[in-house]
Amino acid sequence: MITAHPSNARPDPEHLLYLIAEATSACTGAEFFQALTHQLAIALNVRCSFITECLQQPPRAVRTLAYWDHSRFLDNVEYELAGTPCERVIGTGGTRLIPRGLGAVYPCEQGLAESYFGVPIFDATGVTVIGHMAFLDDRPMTDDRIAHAVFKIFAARAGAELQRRRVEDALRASEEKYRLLVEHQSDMVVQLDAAGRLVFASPSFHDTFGVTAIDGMFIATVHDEDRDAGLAALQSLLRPPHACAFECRAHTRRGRAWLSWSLNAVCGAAGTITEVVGVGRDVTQRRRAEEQTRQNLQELAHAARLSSLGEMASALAHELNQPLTAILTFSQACQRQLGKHAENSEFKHALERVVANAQRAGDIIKHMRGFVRKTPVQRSVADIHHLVTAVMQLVEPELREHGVSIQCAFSSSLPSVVVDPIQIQQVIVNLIRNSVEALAGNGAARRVIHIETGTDGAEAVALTVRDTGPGLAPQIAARLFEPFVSSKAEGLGIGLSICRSIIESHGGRLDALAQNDGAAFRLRLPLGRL
Amino acid sequence: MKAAAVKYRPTVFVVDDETDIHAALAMLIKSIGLEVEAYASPHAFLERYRSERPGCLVLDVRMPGMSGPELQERLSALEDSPPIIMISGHGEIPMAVKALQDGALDFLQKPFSDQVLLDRIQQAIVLDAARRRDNEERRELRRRYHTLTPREREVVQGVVAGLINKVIATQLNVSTRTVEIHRAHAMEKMQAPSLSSLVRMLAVLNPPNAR
Repeated sequence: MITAHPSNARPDPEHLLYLIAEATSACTGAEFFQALTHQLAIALNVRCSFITECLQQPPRAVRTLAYWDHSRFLDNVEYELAGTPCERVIGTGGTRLIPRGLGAVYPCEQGLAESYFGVPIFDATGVTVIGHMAFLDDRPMTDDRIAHAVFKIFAARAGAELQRRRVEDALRASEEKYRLLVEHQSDMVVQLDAAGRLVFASPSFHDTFGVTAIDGMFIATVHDEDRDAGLAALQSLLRPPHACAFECRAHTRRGRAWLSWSLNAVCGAAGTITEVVGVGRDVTQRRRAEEQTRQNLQELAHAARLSSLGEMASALAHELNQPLTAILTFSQACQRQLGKHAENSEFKHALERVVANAQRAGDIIKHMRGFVRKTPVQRSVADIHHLVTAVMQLVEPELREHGVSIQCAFSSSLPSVVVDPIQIQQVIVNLIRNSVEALAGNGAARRVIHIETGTDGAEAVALTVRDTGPGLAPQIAARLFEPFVSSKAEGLGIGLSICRSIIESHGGRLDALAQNDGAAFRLRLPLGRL
Repeated sequence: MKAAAVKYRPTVFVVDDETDIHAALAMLIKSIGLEVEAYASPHAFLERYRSERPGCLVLDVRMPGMSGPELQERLSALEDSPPIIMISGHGEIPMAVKALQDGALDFLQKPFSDQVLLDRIQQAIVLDAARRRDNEERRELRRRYHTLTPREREVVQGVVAGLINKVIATQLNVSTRTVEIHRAHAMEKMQAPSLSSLVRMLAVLNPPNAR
């Protein structure tokens, strides 16, 4: 024990410990350090007492956490350790007592105090010095070995407090960081209680919904049409992995929007949900783009259906017309033969009916073809490259699924064409799909489709789709464009024949090119005028 | 000319890859007393056909190997090409227009009325006979024209151009009398009874290298 007054009755160390512990136990932070500094100064009966924390590692300077001198607290100060008695305390990690003549040992302390006692403060590992306690007095101090242990206890307590404070500071800094993140990001952050009530909502949430009070239910932000899906998602939070994600429409301040929510439940010790944290994002733009793509696909599919119908009707009409022509012509020839033998009136009548019915069948077929050909064709000026680019977006999922890539070699100056963009896109989609199927079925390592554009003379543009697949079987190649001819088990055989009739209706040509390997199709479109 | 007409009766050639259709057409055409030859392909037809045979051709558009329009193009190279009636299940307008522009007499969409077809065939046969007569006349006139001397041809061209003998004489740097002699010889060789008939003959002949 060290006391400034050896003549005084030595205080009972345990009692001293008790007193100080009682005075400081209720406090934390700055208050704790002040109480400890003050109580130690009283207990030791010294003029000056302070506690510091190191400002860096290895420490070159310290900052006081509490500074008691001349019976009052002074403002905290920072000071360099070099040339001070504290330097050795912190540097060596041992206590240091200078009972008298401090000014003689440390000239910089000359006239400031007579005696000095310093105790290092360690972190939880007990190795790194993170601060120290120091006591100064104008009178000499005496040593007492038991008291060193007592001081070590206080130093440990101060160390724990210092560390606790540092963790707290770090936490506060981190909270501040998160607060800044939450407040300044466009994504919405919400916190819900176990019942689904909004407990916290980020400014972006308020900005989106234009509300300032957060006492509502989270589900109330979800549009009626998606509420069931939202409720189902929230219900799923009760089950591991206690996370869900869903997209919903919402009435926001800026109108109707699509939001994407990702929610995570925080479970307490008993496994019950204590709260839910969620992040939401406005995905309206993405949804719109998807919607547009879906619509384009539908239009293409619709055009394809119409074309298929037209093509099938046309093919059917041709196939039926041939036997019908034979029937009608034979019947009419018979009628003429019979005309020379007037007595066969019953035969004559029967033949008349055959002819009339065959004619009716012919009219029905003609009508059917006329009807399907009425599909309005809307031609406009189009850039083939734009059409190809749009198509590539449409078939992107299929390309990705089968690991096929497209390499384009676009002519730098390609004149515009006058076409029905949907129909031409349909043809390009068809050609690319055929190639994708050929490549996917082939198990080829290199799955590339080459698309080239260029002019064909002064009056036409050409587009070539080439793949590195197995190519065309000779027996298929010869009848490639005929309806109902297909190399695919499930194929209808309508695709290429429709493609050719579309291109021909534009005054162009669609041909299969002779290739050493793979298949290549070339479509040629005249420039044309509106 | 007259010998050819006597040699052959007009024949209706039918080319269609559908055997039932060409059989039916053959029966129909025979029923009005015309000669018919039906073929299942343009190649089979070309093997047997001789352009001096009068008649007409009923031709399907879509056939494997050689299409109707392709056969039409081949035949158009002949001087006495037969009139063609196209028939097709694919009554595509552009194809019909093309066939008609290339000289087809008509384009009928299957199934067609027997009366329309037979009417067209009758017209085609009449047309063919007229064409053959014209062609024969042109050939005969050409033959006569080739017997003319270069000087006689020059005089004839001047006469047809409406020039009087004197002007022709000046142009050719000969006497008017010489022109009159050339002219008389030319008319005799061309068997032209009058000036107007000579002009008509030259119009029919329209020799490509005459000056």
